Amino acid sequence: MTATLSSSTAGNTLPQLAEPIRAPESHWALALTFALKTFAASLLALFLAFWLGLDEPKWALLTVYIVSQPESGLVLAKSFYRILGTVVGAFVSAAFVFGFAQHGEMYLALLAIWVGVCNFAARAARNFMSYGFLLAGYTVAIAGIPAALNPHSAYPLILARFTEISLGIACAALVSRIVLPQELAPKLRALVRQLIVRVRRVGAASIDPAADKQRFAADRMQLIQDLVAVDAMRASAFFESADARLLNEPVRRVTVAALKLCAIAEDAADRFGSAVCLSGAGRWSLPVLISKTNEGPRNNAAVVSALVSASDKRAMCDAEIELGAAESALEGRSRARVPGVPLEVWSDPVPAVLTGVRTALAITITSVFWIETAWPTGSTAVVIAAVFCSLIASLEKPVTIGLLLVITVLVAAIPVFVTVFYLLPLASDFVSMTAVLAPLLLVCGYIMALPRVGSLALFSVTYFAVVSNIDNVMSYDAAGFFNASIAILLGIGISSTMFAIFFPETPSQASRSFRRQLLRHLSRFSRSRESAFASYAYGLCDQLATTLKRANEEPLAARQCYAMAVTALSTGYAIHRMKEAIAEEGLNPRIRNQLEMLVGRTSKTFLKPSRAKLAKRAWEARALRNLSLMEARASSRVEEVAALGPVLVGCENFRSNLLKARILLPENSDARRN
Amino acid sequence: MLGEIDLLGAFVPTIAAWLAMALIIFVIGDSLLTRTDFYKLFWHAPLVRFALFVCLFCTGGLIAGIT
Repeated sequence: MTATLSSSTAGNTLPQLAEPIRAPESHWALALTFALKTFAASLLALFLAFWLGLDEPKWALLTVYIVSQPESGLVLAKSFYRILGTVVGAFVSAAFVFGFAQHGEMYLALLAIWVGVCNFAARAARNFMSYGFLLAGYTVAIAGIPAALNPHSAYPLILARFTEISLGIACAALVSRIVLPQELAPKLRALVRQLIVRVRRVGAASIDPAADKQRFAADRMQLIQDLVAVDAMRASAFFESADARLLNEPVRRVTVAALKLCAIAEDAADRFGSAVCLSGAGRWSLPVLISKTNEGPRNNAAVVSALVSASDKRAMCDAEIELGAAESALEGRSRARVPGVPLEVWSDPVPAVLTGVRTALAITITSVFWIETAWPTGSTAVVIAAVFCSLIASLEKPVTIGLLLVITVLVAAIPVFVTVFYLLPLASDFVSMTAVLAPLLLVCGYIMALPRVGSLALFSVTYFAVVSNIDNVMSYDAAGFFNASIAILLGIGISSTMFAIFFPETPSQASRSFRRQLLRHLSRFSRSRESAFASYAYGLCDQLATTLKRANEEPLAARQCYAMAVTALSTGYAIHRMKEAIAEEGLNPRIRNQLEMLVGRTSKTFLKPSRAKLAKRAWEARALRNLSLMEARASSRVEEVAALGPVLVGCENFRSNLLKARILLPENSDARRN
Repeated sequence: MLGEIDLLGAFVPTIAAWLAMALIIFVIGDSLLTRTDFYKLFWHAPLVRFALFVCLFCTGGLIAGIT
């Protein structure tokens, strides 16, 4: 451990990986395997749906494609949340249909509100949990609207839809897990090892004045994204197997240790190299250092600088040790259990509310169009509006996605039309139907495995499933096909328009929203009694990663977000140090009281910040720092002097970070003025 | 012959309830077997897991059917 620490801190060599990461297979082979597996799973689901005599087997086929992911852990996680969402959606559908099916307008208004509320919740949640909320919303549209149109057979219809979706999920999970499984756990392990290497490199570079600044900046940027990616992958791997679940705690420990080290590195990076030197300061302990100096600005500055520098190095070493222990647990070298730290994510209610309102408006407008025109396929347009709004609600660039989907429908219309009206009539049994479906579904499956364009292929499959009406006894209706295609285009068009005109999300708005979040959470973190720093830091990294996705169109706004995040991370760490100082045993009650009051006042300052207020708090921290130093010089008790050390360091960190926190002020939020 | 359970007015086959129960039992058993490195004895651990689940589910279903 010592060897690892010393080498990594010096920045000469990086720790070797415990076992080599398996070379990835070629991308086309992975995509082909995925396409074949998904096609096999969809055929299995379709066959079972025919065999069980279900109403609309196309939903089983479609569900297989919707939940399928290249890694089995992702399939199982998505399936789990899909089941939960579908169950909730089925119950709400039943309640709405039985309560309001006789009042069409009321039913559609309730549907719009329900989907809006679910999209609001989905925007606040993360990963597949967010997907579960979306499902709970649009299942009510998918299952509820046909049931409301035919209330006498509503219950069997909702139950049939639930059975078909469950069957699709079961088949996708089974094939993904058994046939050539691509496990998520080894990928998670490899990603965590890369994270450990990167975090050590960032830690070493932060206290090395000769480190390459550009590489340091790039590394810490990537580190924040890796931290979020690791936690998302950990959450999905949890569903994969009991082996993967055993990784859960060690990965969480690594994440927490990495967050701490990252914060220390950010905090130390600005100070390093600018310390005021006092000859021999490094060799002396705190009492000796204080006793050797006198009251005076230069001596005070030198003592404080030496103490902060020593404290930075010690904190870095402690964090490295913690990271090393977490790494040992990950590699199975240590079985010591450490109490888990909950990592919370931040959610901004403003964009979530706007998303919910946009969704409700899109469904309402489409419903009004349906009612006014009495268009028989209008219900499909409402369902598509609900599904489309739900799916793009949490994505960045929703309007661009809408346009891409419209183009996809127009392009896919030809192969889908050929498959439905020229090839499917040739199929006389299940085997011949398999041969007929193979070209379209295999090509779509292959494209689904490709990055960036995968969702377009999934949409093509959805389009095919909606317009094909695959059943035991097939019916071919060209007018219905064109009506359904127009309904899909209309649903997407109205939804995209709502996202484009109703308070659209712009990069500068994302940046402003991020600043608001930072100030709110800094205030809350200062106010809370327990110091859950890891949770604060994780929430910040997660929010930054989310914001950067939306702000990356404007490099200046993205840069501003990043600068604010770094400052907030470092300020949060300074608050954490202040809380640690307050908790020191043997501390003079008067100093403790003043520290608590300062942190409390700072919490209020972050709620309504101004340049003057931040400067005032910084001066108060400076005065408290000098008072602690004076007390330490006057005290003869070693314990009291030792307790004053963290106070001194904490106040100095706090002071410098409060001055840096001016970047979080609203007048600095416009990236173009910086 | 397995009966049905009245769930809010809907008749759900008992076998569906047993499926949910079997899943819970399997998750607990699977966790224990993983900790004892049982699955390392096999080439295709997911297949063994699936086979064990099928055995558990079918045995329970048969016993319930007979009784």
